[in-house]
Amino acid sequence: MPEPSAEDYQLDPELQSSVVLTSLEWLKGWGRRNALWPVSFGLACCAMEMMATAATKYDIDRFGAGVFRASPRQSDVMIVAGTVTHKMAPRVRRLYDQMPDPKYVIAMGACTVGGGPYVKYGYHVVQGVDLVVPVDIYLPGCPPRPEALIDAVRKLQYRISEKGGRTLRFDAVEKNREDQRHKAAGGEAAVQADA
Amino acid sequence: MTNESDTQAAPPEDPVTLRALELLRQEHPDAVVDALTTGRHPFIEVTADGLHEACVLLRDHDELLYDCCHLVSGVDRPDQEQIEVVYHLVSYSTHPGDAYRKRAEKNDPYVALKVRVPRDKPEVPTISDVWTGADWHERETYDLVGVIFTGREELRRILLPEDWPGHPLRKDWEFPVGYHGVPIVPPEAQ
Repeated sequence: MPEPSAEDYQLDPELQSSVVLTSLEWLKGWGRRNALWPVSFGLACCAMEMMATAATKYDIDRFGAGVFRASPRQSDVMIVAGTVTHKMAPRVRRLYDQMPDPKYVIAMGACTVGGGPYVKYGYHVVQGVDLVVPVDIYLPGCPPRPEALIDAVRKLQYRISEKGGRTLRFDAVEKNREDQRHKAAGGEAAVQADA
Repeated sequence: MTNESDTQAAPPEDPVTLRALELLRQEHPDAVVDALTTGRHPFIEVTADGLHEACVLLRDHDELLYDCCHLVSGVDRPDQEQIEVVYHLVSYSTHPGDAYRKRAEKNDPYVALKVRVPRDKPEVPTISDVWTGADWHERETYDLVGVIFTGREELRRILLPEDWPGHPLRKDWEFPVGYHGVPIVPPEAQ
């Protein structure tokens, strides 16, 4: 979404040189998209590419997303980089829950997008991290190149600016998550019945 | 070089396994069940009851000195109603610096022990008191294949969560429909 200009508000031409008009939503989006602080959080080999993206050669800090925080409380975006196992999934969820709103999730790599090479016979791997946390950007690859991660960050920033900080998560993905939870609640009951 | 494949029709004997087998038969004749001393993967099969004394002999005999338990693994064989536990031992003392030589070379310091136990009662005595390093291997074998190692302090899961259903490397293990609220689509349904 382009920045709203003075013409949009039919401002007196004499005021255009001295007054800046914008919407609060746009301003919030501008602030949010240009200071995306990721969680320092890597699960497997994709984390190597994430580190490379943060390092000098690719330098994700050019896009304001290079301040990897050691605490989820200070973070805006969680780059889930690597295979999420069933043992790890509650920890991923807890980290996500500890992040303050607004928060975004990038599912990095084939494993987090949909289970990757483990999807069929890997009993230990969650078949897509969107079953655990809502995902804003899916980034396939095994592992994705640093350029791809930069592209994912740029796409996330574009989405944030589009909706003033809100992303698709708040509508379509939220609904999907509720559906999954509903299904999982039935699934859990079936597990107990088996035992 | 041209006719080498013809002359190698019979696989070569493994002298290390042969010597270990000879000493085992001499010291503990009841323990040895079966052995394969040729080919790329020779092994000695022992009884579950004789496993511990066989391991102590292999570790302490001056000629053998198998001072390291490289690997403990389990093989599920539902067609034979048996579970096989395999121990790979390596001797750094008798072959210093040569432990990673290729199997094809002679006198390499590896020997493999096997134990077969019934599938409905897979109990094997522990060897974690012989080689401390076998402790975690035994826990892993219990975790994934469900072999019960007796006589050791604690036997709990090492890789999977504590409340995981069953032992997933058993051939008849079935995927749960979900784990802690996360649904699982089994391979049959994909």
